[in-house]
Amino acid sequence: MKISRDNYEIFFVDYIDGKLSHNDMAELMIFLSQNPDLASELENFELISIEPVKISFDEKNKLKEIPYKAIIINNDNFDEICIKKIEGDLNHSESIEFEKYLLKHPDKEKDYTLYTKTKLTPDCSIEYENKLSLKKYNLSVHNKKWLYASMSVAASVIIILYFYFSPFNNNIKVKPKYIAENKKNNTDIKHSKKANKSKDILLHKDNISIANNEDIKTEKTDNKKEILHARNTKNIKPTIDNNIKSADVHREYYKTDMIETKSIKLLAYKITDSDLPALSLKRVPKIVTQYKQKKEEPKTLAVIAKSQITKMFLNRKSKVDFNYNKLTFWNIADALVNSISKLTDNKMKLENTYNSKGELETFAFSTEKITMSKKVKNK
Amino acid sequence: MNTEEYNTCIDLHSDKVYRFILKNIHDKEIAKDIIQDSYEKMWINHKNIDFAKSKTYLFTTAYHTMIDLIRKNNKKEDLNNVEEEIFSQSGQYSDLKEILNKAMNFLPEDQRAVIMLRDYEGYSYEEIGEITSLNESQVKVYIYRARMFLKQYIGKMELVI
Repeated sequence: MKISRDNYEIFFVDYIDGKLSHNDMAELMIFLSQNPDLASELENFELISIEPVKISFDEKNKLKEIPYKAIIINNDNFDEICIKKIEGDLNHSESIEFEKYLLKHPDKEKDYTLYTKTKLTPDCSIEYENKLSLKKYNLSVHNKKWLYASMSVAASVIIILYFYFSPFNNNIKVKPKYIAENKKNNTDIKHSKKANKSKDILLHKDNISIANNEDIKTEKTDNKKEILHARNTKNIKPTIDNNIKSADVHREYYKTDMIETKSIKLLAYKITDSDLPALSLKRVPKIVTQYKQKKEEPKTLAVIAKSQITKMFLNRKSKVDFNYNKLTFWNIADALVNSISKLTDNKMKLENTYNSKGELETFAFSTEKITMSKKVKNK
Repeated sequence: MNTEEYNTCIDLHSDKVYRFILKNIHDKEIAKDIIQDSYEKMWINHKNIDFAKSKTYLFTTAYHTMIDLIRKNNKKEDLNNVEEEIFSQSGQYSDLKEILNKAMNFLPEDQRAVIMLRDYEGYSYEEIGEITSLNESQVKVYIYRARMFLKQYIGKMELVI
């Protein structure tokens, strides 16, 4: 074949592979001399070479056709074959071989039967009962907004209704502290001729515990000079101590964990009765109030829970109630308003103002758009 | 996995997991606790779990929790240490299940779990290996040993009876 510009590539490849005959080689050289552009192309062609990459195919064995080999079952591997049979790991031909083996060895049938009995079956009567407790539920965004809006409206309505319908008053009921005293004087204990039949007057040196509406009980001591005994209680009327200030009332009202003891102490004295010139009493008893911490009684779980809930509300630094130890409606309302405010991202507030006596003057409920306030009529 | 799929997972698999754990632990309250813990862990990671693999995830979590508990309490017994007279009762073993349940108690916890996963749930060797953190060969070996033991146990019972 004569070399031309249409078929030179074939000769080039053969030239590089070294397959050109002597005559073709000479002819190629003549052709290249006549076509210098193709000669440079041949030079570039010779420079290009690719080195073989060492890659091997690993899964040759899977492609191979393995000639069939019958499995050999004997005493050594019988147990293993039985288990494979149960597990379904024997192929069709192996299963047939195994069955043939069993036919030939009927004594092995029993062993195989035992193996078949080791296949467990689930007890479907066992069920998990608390499925509902495991499940989770999600509110959609739309439902959440609706829910929070409803809660806000409901809470607002409840607060408004309470404002207008509940009877507000500032009665801080204080238990009157009854103190046994003389008709005329709070501090002096006088001896009256009419009332007191007994001339024995005993003044007790030690503390006397006085509870509400109880008569004074005293004990006799050996020292007659210093003991004053009021036998005739007709002359002693319990009266309310109006001298106690309002601040004292508040302190005593919340000190529920304290034990109050009142003691009569001799601080100063004066002689007021001429019937008793012998006595040179120079001391006048004065009532002193002392507070001692109550011993903690064993608390039940309900009591502990209640106290923790109370603390939780009171720790919100609520200003709505001055009663710092007792959970009131205002604490709960304030906590509720704060929670709704956080959930709905609306600024809501519940505020109260008090006068100097600690009485509620006004209360106000405010949101971003609405503010409501009301004055309280105090008795 | 979304919430709905999670709840579906509870309906589909809670009985199976509970049964599996109860058969291993033999304590209803502990089994319930394990189920709850497993589902809680699943819920925490539910966004990263594919619903199709939820059963495997559940069994894996429950199995590991159970194994930790068993090893902590160290409740392994060996049949060789138990005398045969214990099993000879005046009444006969009429129920094979009863015999097998008894025999299962003597298996080591990993063999017991493996054979239960195989027979109760029909898991493959590979899946069992994934749940129990064993390789396929180990799973096969455990199943082999467990079946050998159960066969011997049943055989002994038949001799006693």
